[in-house]
Amino acid sequence: MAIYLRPMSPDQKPPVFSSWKGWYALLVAVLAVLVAGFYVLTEYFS
Amino acid sequence: MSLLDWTVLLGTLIFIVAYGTWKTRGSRNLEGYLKGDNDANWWGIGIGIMATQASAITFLSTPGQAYTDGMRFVQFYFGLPVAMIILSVTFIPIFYRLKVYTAYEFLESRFDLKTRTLASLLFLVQRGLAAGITIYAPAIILSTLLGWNLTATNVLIGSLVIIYTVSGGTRAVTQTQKQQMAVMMGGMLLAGGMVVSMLPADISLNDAFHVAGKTGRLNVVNFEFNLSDRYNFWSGITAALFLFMSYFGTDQSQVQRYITGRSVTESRLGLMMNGLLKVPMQFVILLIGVMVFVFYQFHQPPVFFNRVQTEHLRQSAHGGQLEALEADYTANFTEKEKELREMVIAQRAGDEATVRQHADHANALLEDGERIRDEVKALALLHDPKAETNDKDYIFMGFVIDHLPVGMIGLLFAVMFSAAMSSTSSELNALSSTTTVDLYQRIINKDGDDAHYLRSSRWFTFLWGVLAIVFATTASLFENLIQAVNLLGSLFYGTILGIFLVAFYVKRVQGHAVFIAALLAEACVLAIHYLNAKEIAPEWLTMGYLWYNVVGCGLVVGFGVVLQQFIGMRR
Repeated sequence: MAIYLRPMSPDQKPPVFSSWKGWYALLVAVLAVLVAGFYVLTEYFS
Repeated sequence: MSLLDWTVLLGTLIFIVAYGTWKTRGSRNLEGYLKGDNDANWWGIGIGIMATQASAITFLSTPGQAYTDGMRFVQFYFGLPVAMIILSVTFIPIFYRLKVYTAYEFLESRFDLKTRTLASLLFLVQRGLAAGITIYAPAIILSTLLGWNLTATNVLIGSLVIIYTVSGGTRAVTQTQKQQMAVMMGGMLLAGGMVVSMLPADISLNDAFHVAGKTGRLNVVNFEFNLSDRYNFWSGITAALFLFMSYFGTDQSQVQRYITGRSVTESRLGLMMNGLLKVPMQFVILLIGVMVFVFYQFHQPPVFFNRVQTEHLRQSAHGGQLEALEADYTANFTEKEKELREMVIAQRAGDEATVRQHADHANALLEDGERIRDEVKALALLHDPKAETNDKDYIFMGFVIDHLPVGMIGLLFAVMFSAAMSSTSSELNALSSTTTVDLYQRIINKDGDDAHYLRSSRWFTFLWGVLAIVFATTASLFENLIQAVNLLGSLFYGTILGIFLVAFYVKRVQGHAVFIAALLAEACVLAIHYLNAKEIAPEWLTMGYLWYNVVGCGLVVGFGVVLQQFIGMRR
């Protein structure tokens, strides 16, 4: 598996965050906020 | 439609096709034709990914789904951002490192030729059929609403796509998808704004949300776990995750969008863009459907949204019975509107008990209204046993035609056409790539030069376009078009994803084992679907189709590991 998942080279550094983990955390955080918002919407207007 | 509508519709379509063809003319080699010379930037990739997934089915069916079933369909997309992360970590680096043209090339370097060929064939069958539905969906709406011949409409849509996809290949697909996405999102947002502005003057947006919520249309999230429930939080975050990993990671129509990037970084950012925007986009489209529902609580809707069927029935011997049912439906509407208005007044006064009382009464009347609609459908079947009684997919465009102003109608038809063209062009492009690279170049004719394969891939694009048109003309209307496409995907995607997951994560499983495991898994998935479709599945096998992705994938991994043990022991 190491062949397939070796670390990224420096030229693959993403914009905005210092590593891709920042982007992945952003996606999960946005999803969590959306789900929480949807839950509030469902409960508040039901 | 008025002259202005026709001008907007035809002007939009002709501009996109002509500009895309002109701008991307003259690909001189196979890499340019199939990979766009790896020149795409992140936002072009992101738009391409979103435009490929957002077919006309998305814009026709989704508002109708929200109208009848509420917002819960949005949960289906919860697994998508997670899938984007997994693909970004795992799939993209490998595809770039191997410089593949198709996802299936990787399988030969990991397993063997037969496994690559099997995955390619599963993709070609699934995506070839889906391309037919992608054309058929807007064709049936246009032909019904505008009185066009269905076959001619299928041919028109398919031909428009064939023109620029054959001419410019991947670069044409990417170029046109930018304009198509702008038309789609601009048109839908304008339509959404207009629905809200057309609500009665005494019904505010807050009131509209209360009406939608009290009538069960704002059921966005449900945390209750239920295997046979198609859309809840858990099926979205798990079963749909498998579907999306398979769709975005192993379906060439998507893989081709992001392997055309300038670098791994551009491709990853394209996936991140999709992960951030897809759920809100689906939410907005569903919300538009819910607002159409609220609109129709205060403006009399037709008893049946497929107006051609209604007119056939009106002209038949059952016309009198139809009129009587329409009168019942009008009385039901009037009483329901009164209840909802009183509910809104009580809501503003903060009188919860009265709100609940009127809401219960309104919901009972909604059910009565549905019963009247069912009687109309039964009448339609009595008149013509082959009559199409599913009218969900006509709700949104019916609203557009009946209530939106001149110009907007043409724009919304352009949205549907653009959506159909954007996803169909990706599909034809991918079908051609897989046929050329994985079958023709690899197995049938290994000795051609680059010019020969470039010509071949153009011909394959054309032939797949013609086949898609043929499939479209023989398709019948499923329960719901968007579900039909997802069902078709779920039948095959689990197996394909299983092959890829074994390739990535179970290194000791080799070609023979995974090949047999994939065949067995696919047979099991088809058998489970048959049992569920016929409603004869035992309770432990009863499941919504999204779970086929998990089952297929799990079976490939499980069978693969077990078979490898046996093969290893024999050797």
